[in-house]
Amino acid sequence: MAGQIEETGFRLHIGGRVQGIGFRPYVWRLARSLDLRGMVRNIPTGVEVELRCSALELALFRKRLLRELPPQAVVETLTVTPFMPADEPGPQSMFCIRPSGSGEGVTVVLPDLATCADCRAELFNPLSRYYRYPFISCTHCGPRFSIMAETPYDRAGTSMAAFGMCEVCRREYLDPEDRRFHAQGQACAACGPSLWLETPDGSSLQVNDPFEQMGEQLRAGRILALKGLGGFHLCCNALDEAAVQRLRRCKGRPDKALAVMFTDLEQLRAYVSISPEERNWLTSPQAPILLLRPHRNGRRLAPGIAPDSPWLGCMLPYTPIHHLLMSVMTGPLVMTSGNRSGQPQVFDNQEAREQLADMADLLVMHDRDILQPIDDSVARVQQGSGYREVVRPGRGLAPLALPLPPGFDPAAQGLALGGDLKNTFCLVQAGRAVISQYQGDQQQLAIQHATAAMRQHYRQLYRTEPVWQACDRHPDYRLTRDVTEDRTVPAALVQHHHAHLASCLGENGVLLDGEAVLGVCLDGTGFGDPDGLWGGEFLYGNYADVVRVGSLRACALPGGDTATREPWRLLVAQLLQAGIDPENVLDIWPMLVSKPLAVVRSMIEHRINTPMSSSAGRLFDAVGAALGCYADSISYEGQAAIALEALAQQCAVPAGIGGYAMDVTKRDGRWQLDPGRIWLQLLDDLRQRRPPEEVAQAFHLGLAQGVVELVTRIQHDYPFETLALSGGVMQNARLVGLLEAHCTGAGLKVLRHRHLPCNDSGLALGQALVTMARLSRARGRQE
Amino acid sequence: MVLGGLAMRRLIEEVFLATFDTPELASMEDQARLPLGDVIASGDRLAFTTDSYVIDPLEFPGGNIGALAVNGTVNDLAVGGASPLYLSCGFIIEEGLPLEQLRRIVEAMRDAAEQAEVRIVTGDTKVVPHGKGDKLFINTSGIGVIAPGVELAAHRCRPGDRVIVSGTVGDHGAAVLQAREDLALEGGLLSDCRSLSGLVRDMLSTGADIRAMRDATRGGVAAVVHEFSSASGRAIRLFEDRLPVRPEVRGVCEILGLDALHFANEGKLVAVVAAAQANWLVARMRQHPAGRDACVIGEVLPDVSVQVRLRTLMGGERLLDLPVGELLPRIC
Ligand SMILES: [Fe+3]
Ligand SMILES: [Mg+2]
Ligand SMILES: [Zn+2]
Ligand SMILES: [Zn+2]
Repeated sequence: MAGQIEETGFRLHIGGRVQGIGFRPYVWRLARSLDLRGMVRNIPTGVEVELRCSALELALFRKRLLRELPPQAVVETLTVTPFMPADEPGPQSMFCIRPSGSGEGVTVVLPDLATCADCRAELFNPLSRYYRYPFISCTHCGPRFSIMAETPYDRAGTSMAAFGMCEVCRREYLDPEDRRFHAQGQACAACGPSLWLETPDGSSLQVNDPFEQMGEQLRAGRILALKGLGGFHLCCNALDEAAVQRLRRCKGRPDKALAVMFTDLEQLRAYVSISPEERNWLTSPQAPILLLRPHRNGRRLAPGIAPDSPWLGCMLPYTPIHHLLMSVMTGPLVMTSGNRSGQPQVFDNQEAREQLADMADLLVMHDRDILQPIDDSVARVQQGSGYREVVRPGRGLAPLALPLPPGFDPAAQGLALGGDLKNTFCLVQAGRAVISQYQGDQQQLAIQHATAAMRQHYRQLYRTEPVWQACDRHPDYRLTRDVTEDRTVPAALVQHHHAHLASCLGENGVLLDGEAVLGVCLDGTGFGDPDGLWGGEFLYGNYADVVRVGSLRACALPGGDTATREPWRLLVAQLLQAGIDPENVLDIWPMLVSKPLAVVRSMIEHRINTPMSSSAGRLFDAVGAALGCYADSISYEGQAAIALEALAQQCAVPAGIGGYAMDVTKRDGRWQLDPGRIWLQLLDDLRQRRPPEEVAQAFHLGLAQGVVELVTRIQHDYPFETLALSGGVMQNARLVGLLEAHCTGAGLKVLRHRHLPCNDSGLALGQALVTMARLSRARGRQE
Repeated sequence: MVLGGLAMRRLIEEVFLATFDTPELASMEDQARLPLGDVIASGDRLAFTTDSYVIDPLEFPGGNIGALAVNGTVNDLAVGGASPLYLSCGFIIEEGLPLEQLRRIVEAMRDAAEQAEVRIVTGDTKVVPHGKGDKLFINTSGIGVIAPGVELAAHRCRPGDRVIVSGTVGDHGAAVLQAREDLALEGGLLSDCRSLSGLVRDMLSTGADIRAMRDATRGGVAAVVHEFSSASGRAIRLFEDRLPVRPEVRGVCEILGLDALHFANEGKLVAVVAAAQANWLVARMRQHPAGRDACVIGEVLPDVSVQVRLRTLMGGERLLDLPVGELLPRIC
């Protein structure tokens, strides 16, 4: 019996996020404090611990191990195997840290982390040897992914390899008692990276204190190009409207809201309201840009920062450079990614000299190379529910490694390319789906190339040779064209909204062959079938297959993508479809007087560059246009719809408002939600001078009711207990709140996106899961 | 009712023979007999091409299907470096086509042939019952001669070469759309339908190293540049801000959400020429009426890749794709 043997051995295998974050010293300290003998080391799949102790001691160790984890650690698996110490000679005395086990590279890649409280304290402590050192970091914070060239995460494989450690740094690096034990970014002013200023003509600027100089420039209304963690930022004084407007002109970004960095929470609170949950996220090591609501009566930023958005993108300093910069500022700074509109973010010094010099008055450079660019994450917390929502995955949140849901083949290796816009990609390996950071519009050649390079980097980092590739079914998507032309790896085409649905299921860990669910995908447009573009879909099924059981009634998009850019066209198309002649309502919409109504009408009649789409997003655009939100043209996607949501939020008496009724019909076995009647009611309301805020609210309510009505009807024909909400329109907090409340109230289990956006940045994961589900079914058939 | 033999003969004599009035046709033999001497004297290779013409409406501002049928085939010969000599023409006429309209069309063919200095030497006419054709189809074939030393071929494009267009882009496509009454587009656009043989002759006479030439008909300038890229295996970059586009054409494009680069032209060519000679060639082209708005619009890149890039007005670069089918929106 094991109990009779005096010396017992236990081998613990710990999987998860356990490397590069001070896990081994943590185990070391714990084991020593418990006076246990044994060792700890990194192995390719995680961390291995050997203990020579009693079962009782093991239990205690295990309990404390899981309870006192370092801040960044996530333990996903922990297995214990006993062994006979007598059979295996091992450490007889103290507990020690052993060198890494050889074998394949470690595939856990840690995101970049915001400066921790300890480092922050040292940064501003005159007695610390790190006092005012702009590259201070430790095992709990600092760059990771952005400076990694390869796995495992060792200094030699990072851009820190260029800096040899000084004696003092090396001592800290080798001391398990130290916070910087095996901190690969370990450096100090004596041995590490340094920071300098350059003028746009390329000469370096000699100053006593670069941060004082930066502050002076910013106060004088100048624009800085600032090298950060994952790339360059352009920044200027957020209270200086002239500077903000100049920045917008340089960047070619007329209206889209700019992000703002505040010195600290106290300053931030003077401008925006913030809930405890929002504060927690904002101050976390992920430190995303959070979308917050400006106070009604709070202090005002320059009006040009977020001219049409009810949200303000807010962040706190997350690198020592930011902390030092903000310490010389009295007000907030605009902090936007350093690139021209439609170009990838600049991350290399030379590129910055070439591309940012004519946008910035001063370049803040350093010599710690960014190897992989990664832009800031954008996120939001839903009011009331405290639901965390990712709008753009980036620094701190990516790469995101989600375990594959139960039932999926843990040995699968593949690559999903994602959609053409708001692109992310997804690499499947070792039982995980690794989703990349936001890449952007693949139609832009420079972005397409940067994305291809990033895909290659992920494949190297995770040592994966994909055996399949998945992409969207849209024949004109850049990525789809490329992948179908490249015949080296078999390509799978996945329908856009099926991918949206699968992505939502996967994030929620829904198992492979579970019960069928109903997916409600309210979206812009996506290629549906050869007959049309979809975008307001009710899909019944699972990962492998769906049936389109319901949809919004399709409406014309006169001019294709041009209709999306000019929402008045969508308004005209919706009016015509509702039986309203736009010529007869010019008094309500005078902006239509100057529009070529006859041409648009005949484009719709003769289907000249006028596809039909059941898009929900375009319906929002049309209603937005009807209420005066960017009817002429939008300068970024979703602008009219965002303004419409903002209008509804301003509605003073939401309780007393009834929603617009919609017609529900069944055609060819498919339920259809017809927005036609909305337009008659809306027209009536505008005739009676009902405030646009109330109309916006009535539309939101009506659409939510219509969707719920359709869900109920579908339930008669198709059994389901789970409802999944996806698609870009689900970013509308008002709508999604209404839908969730209604459906939960009706006894349905409602799934929403948790880690990834509901928009096209979530497509890649869905494409991967659909493809794997189909492959596994095909294998099942063969067997 | 299909025409009887006599009626058909009368139609041919009254409309076609009277209008075209060439000795080869007048002889009424089953074939045109062409002297070889002229041909041999002016070149060392024959160029031979055929094309069928179908268009709605048959007549449009700036031309009609007849002018199109002559110029189209003449231009297909010319851009190969050939001097066009002879044309054949075949007509498929739907019963009920107004005789007056047919006459106008045939007269336009005669005028176009005269201007391009080609002779219509043989022809054929069929009349099909009402509903079995769309008013009128015309096929023309053409023969031309290529002078010794003239070597125009898309695969000859080299990195650094310049891409030239002979004039404003998209006029024909836009004019035809405007001519469609049901579309309610207003404006006075004219098709650019014309012969390019004179312009090509002038271009060749400069001695510039012209690598390749194509007329930018269906699929527009975009399709031609894709052909150049595909044949030479080199990427080609176009500059949006250098494209000559008439404001009226731009207007039509904006309303319809279409791109003038994909619009058909019926009197424009795209040429690739050695960089050093590009500006000089353009200057010479501008002296010819068919080349007044000629300009450099792009360059051949060193990248070994079949793609056309467009440097946009915004400053970024995107790939100029040829649509698979109907243009489908991508914005989600
Ligand atoms: Fe989508
Ligand atoms: Mg042709
Ligand atoms: Zn730290
Ligand atoms: Zn040091």
